[in-house]
Amino acid sequence: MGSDVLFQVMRYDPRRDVEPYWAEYPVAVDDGDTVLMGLMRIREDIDGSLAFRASCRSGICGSDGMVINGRSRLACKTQVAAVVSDRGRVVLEPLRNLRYVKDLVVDQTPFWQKFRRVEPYLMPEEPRSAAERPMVLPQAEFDRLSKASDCIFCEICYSECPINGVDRGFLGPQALIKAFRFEFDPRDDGAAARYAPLSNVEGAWRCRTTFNCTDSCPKGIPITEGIQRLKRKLVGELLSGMQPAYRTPMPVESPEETSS
Amino acid sequence: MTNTGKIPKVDQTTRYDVLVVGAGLAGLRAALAVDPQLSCVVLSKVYPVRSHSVAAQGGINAALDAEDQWQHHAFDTIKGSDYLADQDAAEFMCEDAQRAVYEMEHWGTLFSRRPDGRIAQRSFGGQGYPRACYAADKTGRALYQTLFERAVARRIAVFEEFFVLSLVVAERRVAGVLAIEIASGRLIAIPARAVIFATGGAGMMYARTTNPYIATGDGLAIAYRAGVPLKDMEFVQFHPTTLPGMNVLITEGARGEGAYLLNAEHDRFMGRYAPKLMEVAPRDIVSRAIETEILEGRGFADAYVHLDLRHLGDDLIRHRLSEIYDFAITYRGINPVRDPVPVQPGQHYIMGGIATGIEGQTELAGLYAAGECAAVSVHGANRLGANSLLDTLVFGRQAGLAASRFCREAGQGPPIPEQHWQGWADRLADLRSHAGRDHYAPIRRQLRATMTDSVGTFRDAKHLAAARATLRALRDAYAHAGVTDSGTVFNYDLLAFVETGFLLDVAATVVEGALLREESRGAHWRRDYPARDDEKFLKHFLFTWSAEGPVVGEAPVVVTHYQPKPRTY
Ligand SMILES: Cc1cc2nc3c(=O)[nH]c(=O)nc-3n(C[C@H](O)[C@H](O)[C@H](O)COP(=O)(O)OP(=O)(O)OC[C@H]3O[C@@H](n4cnc5c(N)ncnc54)[C@H](O)[C@@H]3O)c2cc1C
Repeated sequence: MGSDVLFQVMRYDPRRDVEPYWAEYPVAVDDGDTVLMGLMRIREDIDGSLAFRASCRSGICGSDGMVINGRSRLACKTQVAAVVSDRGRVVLEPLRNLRYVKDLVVDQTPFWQKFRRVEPYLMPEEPRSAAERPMVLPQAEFDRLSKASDCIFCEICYSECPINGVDRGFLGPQALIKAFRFEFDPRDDGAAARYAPLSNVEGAWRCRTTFNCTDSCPKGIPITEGIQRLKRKLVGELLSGMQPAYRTPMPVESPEETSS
Repeated sequence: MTNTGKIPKVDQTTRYDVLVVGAGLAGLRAALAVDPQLSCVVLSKVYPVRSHSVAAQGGINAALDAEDQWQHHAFDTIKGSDYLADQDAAEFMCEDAQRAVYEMEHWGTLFSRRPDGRIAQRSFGGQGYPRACYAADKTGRALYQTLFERAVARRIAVFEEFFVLSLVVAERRVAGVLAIEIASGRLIAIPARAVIFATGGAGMMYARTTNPYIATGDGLAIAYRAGVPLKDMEFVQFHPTTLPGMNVLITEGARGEGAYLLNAEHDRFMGRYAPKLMEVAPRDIVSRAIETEILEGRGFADAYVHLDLRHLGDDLIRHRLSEIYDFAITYRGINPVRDPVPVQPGQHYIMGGIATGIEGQTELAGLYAAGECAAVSVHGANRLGANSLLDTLVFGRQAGLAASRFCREAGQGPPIPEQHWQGWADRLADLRSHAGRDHYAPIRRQLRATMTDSVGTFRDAKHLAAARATLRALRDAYAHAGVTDSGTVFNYDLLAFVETGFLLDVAATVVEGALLREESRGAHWRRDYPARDDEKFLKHFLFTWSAEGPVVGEAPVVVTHYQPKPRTY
């Protein structure tokens, strides 16, 4: 093993602790080791009670988003060497804008509720047919859709978005880029159904183009650009009289509400 | 740091008609096939989108072109399986492939396209025709998102982050499952008339694997402990090209697009092992070739060979192989446009699983299985690339349809007997209140090292027997091991403890089968028996649980049209 690096981790167990505290663990790391590998070593060799989510280890399943040295990132895509230099240690906290539950685990319920609210699926559901349906799109258009569908639901954009921080009702970047992915799919006919959640005051308009989502997305999705295209489309629908203006906010959900 | 969190109560919740365990492709496809008149719920130990199906890269096979035929796909599958696939099952899957792919397209999957707008296809190992439909090198994610979105549209109920511990059997049929709600630690008994297992693979029993942390063979071990036989367990697939270190996968699609394998002498060595198909020979053959090159001193650092993509050009790599471009840079600091990528074989897939028929049915009334945790068996001794995603969609649907029929015919199921959950409740309470016993982690680590060292690409009696002895010792150690975390909320320590027990049971069947199968077939290669022996071993092994270890039975291989032939590429 290589040198020891100090991992400073926010710990909290609701059944035991009144408030969170910092715990420190010296972890042996080699060149190229990721933060997740360090966390696994803590769980297996030092303290098995450390709670964090993880699965694929390669930035595809979106489980292990957390705040690493001040920024939301995937632990499995962040090398220890790349972050340790700024503070001489690795500082780990749960994602922001979501309630922390235990150690690095957050309650993702509001995130999923907002995702569901944009009716995130191709509409209508076609009657079953055995025939192939060709889809001809200019390469650039196809790439844009394909890129938008790279989302791994890691919640990093949600954690980095300043609007999500101050406005609990805002749909957030992830739900909006999902909506974009369908709204710009030539096979989709769901614009009318998605119009209300999207053009509501808590929808696309609430985005203030800080580009935090785009900067932090571990999949490199140009989220802000997608949201701006969505706005342009909504304006078009509004001006052409296809859709009414929406002014009433959607009801704010209480955090207790659970998804199913 | 201890805490004697309250021992949670067991709840008996609502009854369901069909309960699906697993929210990967197989589980969601099953749920979508369940008759909407019936009540259905899906349980998953992680949020559905964290299921491993999202990691699949290269493609999904279907004979779509007029020049291609599903019969050819079936033949390639059967030959690829080294003639151990049940041919009726393989034929069924390949004939259904076109429907499965078009259905996904209609539901919204963004497949890569040809210039005329039709779904693009690429070459994959062991296929006589380029028939792997793909979405760049993120086919699993593209398919998975579509199914997940469809499940959202249909309002399929999912219990997220529920960990299934055991299957409840009463009156010789399924009665439901016992699960832990991870967020609270609550133990819950959920009665159901039919249960479908779609719990994925068991790669975590190996040190070098492309699989995620959650691939711990839960469904296999749970079914096995409930008396349901496992099949073909000795057949474990080692993928030829994984990045040394974390063993992140580099898709076979890279070779399908034309990448070369080179040894330290800059030799395209596949010419010596599979002169016709070269790099796109089936995985068992390519993995052994790479291991041989390394063992004979022609590898780099005695650990890997090179995968050279440079001649494919910047544009192709960035468009059609964008994920692995990113992996090589993130995990190895290597830009595949400019430099060759180091690769070595790693555990990737288990051909074996819960023994099922074409409808996903098992020996136990009311229990169905589909996806990687099942062995129908369509993959036999070696799965062809891009056939697993197909398997999940085809047989997931089959299981959903069959479970629905079962519900209509079989009447209400028995209630869950109290003694069933009491055993687990006591066990978990004991673990939590005695936190601080020897931790399970060293046991798990030793298991994984043993499997990689002794039950890998090349096997022999001596190493297998030693592995069996090690596994028995680990099982004894496990009986006295424990956890650190005594809490109830998100106790991942406790779950990993339970998973380690699952892995030990599953690994024991792999070793047993590997010892008994004194021949070389597909992914199972015995140095001491280097030839296929159809006379003695053209058959499946079935593994049934007993306190002393697996009891091995046999089942014939179904042969329809294709008599076993020597397998050359
Ligand atoms: C890196 C990689 C790339 C691949 N690429 C390809 C490819 O290109 N083409 C191809 O055909 N195949 C590919 N495969 C194989 C294929 O992806 C898998 O075999 C397939 O996705 C398995 O799907 P599944 O639905 O059976 O299980 P999974 O997707 O693994 O899902 C398992 C589900 O079971 C749940 N579960 C497990 N245990 C429990 C429990 N105790 N309680 C509750 N829930 C539980 C999990 O939460 C999860 O939802 C690849 C595999 C890997 C590892």
